[in-house]
Amino acid sequence: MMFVVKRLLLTIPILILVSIMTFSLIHMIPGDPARVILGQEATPEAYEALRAELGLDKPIVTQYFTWLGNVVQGDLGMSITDRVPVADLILQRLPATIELTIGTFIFALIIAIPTGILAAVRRNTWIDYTASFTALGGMSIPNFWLALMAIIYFSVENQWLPSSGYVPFSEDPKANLMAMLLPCMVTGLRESAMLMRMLRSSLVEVVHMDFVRTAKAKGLNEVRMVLGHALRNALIPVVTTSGLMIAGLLGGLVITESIFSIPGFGRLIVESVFKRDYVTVQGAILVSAVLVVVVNLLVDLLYAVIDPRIKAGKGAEG
Amino acid sequence: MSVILDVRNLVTTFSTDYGKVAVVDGVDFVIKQGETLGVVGESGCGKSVTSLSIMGLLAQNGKSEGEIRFHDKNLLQVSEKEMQKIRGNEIAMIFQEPMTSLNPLHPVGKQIGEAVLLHLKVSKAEAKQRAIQMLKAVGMPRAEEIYNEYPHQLSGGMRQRVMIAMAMACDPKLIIADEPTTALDVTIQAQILDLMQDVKEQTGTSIMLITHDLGVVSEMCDRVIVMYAGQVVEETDVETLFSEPKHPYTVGLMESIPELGTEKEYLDTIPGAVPLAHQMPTGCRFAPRCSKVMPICEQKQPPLLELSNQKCRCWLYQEVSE
Amino acid sequence: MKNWKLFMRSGMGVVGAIIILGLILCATFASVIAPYDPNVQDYNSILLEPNSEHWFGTDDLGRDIFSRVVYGAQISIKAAIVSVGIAMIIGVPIGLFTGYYRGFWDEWVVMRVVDAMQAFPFLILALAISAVLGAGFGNAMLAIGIGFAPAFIRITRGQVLSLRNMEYIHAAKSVGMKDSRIIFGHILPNALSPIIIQATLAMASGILAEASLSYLGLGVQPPTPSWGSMLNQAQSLLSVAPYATYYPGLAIFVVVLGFNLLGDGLQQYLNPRTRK
Repeated sequence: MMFVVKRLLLTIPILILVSIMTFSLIHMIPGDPARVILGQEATPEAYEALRAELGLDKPIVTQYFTWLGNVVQGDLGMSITDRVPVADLILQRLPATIELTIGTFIFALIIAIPTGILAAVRRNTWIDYTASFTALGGMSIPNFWLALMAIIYFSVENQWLPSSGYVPFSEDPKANLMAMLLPCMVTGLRESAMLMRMLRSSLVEVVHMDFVRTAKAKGLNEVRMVLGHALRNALIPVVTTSGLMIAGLLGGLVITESIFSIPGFGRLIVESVFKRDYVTVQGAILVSAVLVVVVNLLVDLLYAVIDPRIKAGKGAEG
Repeated sequence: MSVILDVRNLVTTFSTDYGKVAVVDGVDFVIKQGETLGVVGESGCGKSVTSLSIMGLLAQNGKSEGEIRFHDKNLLQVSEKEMQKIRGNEIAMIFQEPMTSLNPLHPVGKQIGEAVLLHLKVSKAEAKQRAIQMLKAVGMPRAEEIYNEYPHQLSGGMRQRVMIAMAMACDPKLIIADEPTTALDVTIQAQILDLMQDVKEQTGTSIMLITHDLGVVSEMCDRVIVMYAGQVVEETDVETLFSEPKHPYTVGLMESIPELGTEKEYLDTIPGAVPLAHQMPTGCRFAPRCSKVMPICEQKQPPLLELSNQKCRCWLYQEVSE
Repeated sequence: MKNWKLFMRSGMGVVGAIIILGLILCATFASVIAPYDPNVQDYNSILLEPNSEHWFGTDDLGRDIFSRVVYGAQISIKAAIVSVGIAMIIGVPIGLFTGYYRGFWDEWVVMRVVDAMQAFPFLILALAISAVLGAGFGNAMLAIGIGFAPAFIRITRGQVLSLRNMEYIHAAKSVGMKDSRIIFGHILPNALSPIIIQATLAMASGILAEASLSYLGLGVQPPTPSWGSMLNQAQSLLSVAPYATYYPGLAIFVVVLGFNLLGDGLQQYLNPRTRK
């Protein structure tokens, strides 16, 4: 319990700093933000109206606290170009991104867990070298290029899978899954490469621990020894780092969603950047950072479920 | 008493950066049913490697040759699958570090029951009953509750009791205990040794007890082999070991025990250190440290000589045996 | 058999180094290697498939793709050096000083800011910063460099924390050596190898990030040949000229792999824990 409370308290300063950084973003625009957003031809009335809306006419500290007060109530401001609340825009776009994230993780886990185990157990054999080298290759492929290659092969040359045409799952599950398959595979491949490398190195360390030898001395075969005793211990560091992966993944989805025309959260950011809709950009960035913080919090709590030593309030080395 | 384990000319080599290195070099000994055999020596003498060779638990770069006869099988030739049926079932092992030898993520009871479930054809409920019974047998209070507790919730002594319970769970013919009390407090050591003595008396199992502590040997063992630099240098019963040790190394070990009531100002220690496995002397391996060294010692390795009460690998006793 | 294993262990790093050397040569001698001017538009040879005159084909403006890929190496190597350079100039000194002096600034300001910065998805942060500052190579580099800085702060600080209690540091203090000399003369040299590993791996990510931003249209601006922006332009031609997407992407992949291989190799060589 202490662990949970402590962990929760630790997120507060992070969230405050995240909010300050996000808030500062709009003030990093060189010159007058309202002028930059509206362009030179805007009427003086429109200019004044935007300045008032953004609160630019007030002292900066007041601006921050007004903004923060609104944010805490779920008000992320109005989109400059679409004139709808930013929060609504984001909520509209989140389901597709969440689906993409889940699909990516499923795909990544299906590849990473067996290959990671195999590479660790057959360490320093050709299986290990092949798997490790392939993983390094997977991490080096630019995902937008991989996406384009996948489209060329699966959609242009063979017409097996659509390269776009997202429909919500609730409307047409089959079409939805068909449209999501390729994007999930493309982003999943990179994530699986990272997961596999982490799992391998973690498992290699665990396999040499005393308790694994005990398990073998009991007469367990290799499969039961690895799956029953080594794997769970090896997953602890993997789970912690996979929390950090979510940040990289959200970034990667910006590109995947753009290429496959999925109306998700990442595409919203790119669209808003090009429309100079900085209020939406600001809101979306805040949401993405908060998502990362929350996921990491959940991962750390999950860690306590996997490792009984944490619940007792002792360190992992106890 | 019938022989249950017969080790003949065991050579265990590791491939290292220095090439192939024999850490155990031509070891012979037997363990009879119901006896406790002590294996004594400094760290690095090959005693732990001998035990891991018997269990087939060497690291990937290690390889054993020779013969390890258990019942009518040579353990060095049985398949891995057969070996799995023997490990934990007919031969069980207790390790030195109770802190790290238990899986931190599983309740201890489950870890005991796992071997039962694996080797004896029982249901899960029966395995649990057996585990609880074992916990009681090793003197654990509140055995039913301890069953569900995790290793980090137990003290070092209790964890070692769990290890012993785990080793006993399938009524093995032989228990190999590798320095089972070294990592424990002195007061706990005595309790654990008493417990092992009880276990032996109740079940009639044989024990191979690896230790560097001669006090433990005098308390626990029937027979003793003394190992030095990968070889057996002396083999005898425990009374003879203490009354008339023959090998200069064994004599040195005896003299390094502090004795109550004697007026010694300094403890005798053996000068020098164990030679490294990749640079063994050509003659007797103990010669560089021996106070009674003779010219022949540096030229030729002594054989393990059969004396009246013991075996001894030393040129000093050549004419006595002839 | 043994030599083969030895090569697999250390040789991949050498392969990485060779790839990077190739990249540097390509960038330096681009004008010699490239058969055409990368920006010259030839309306008589638009969208030609790869052939003996145009090895990688031509794009929709008739520019030679091979020449553009060769010149793209210049942007790539610049991206690697500049972005990681910015990150190190920010990150290493901060990590050194906060790790050495500890205290309030370290615990409550710098490390918490690092935590907060790492909460932002890197690419989204870079996207936002370069959107705010305006598209272009310099701003993209600044955005990527700032995004990488926290990792350098963390790794340098971690090294300093483990080194500051070493006996030779105590010895240096006890003879009255100045803090700045201890930090730069004694701690930094010993903390260098993980920083170098981190820098190598960051260069891989830096190239990838520059390519991503340029692909999205926020990095290098046309007509400067950059692999990312070439892919952006080729994307609209996917069904007519798929070959236009092959080579710029392949170039990014090979170069990023080169840095990753070298970083991995250095890690195995310099880090005793993974050395076995």
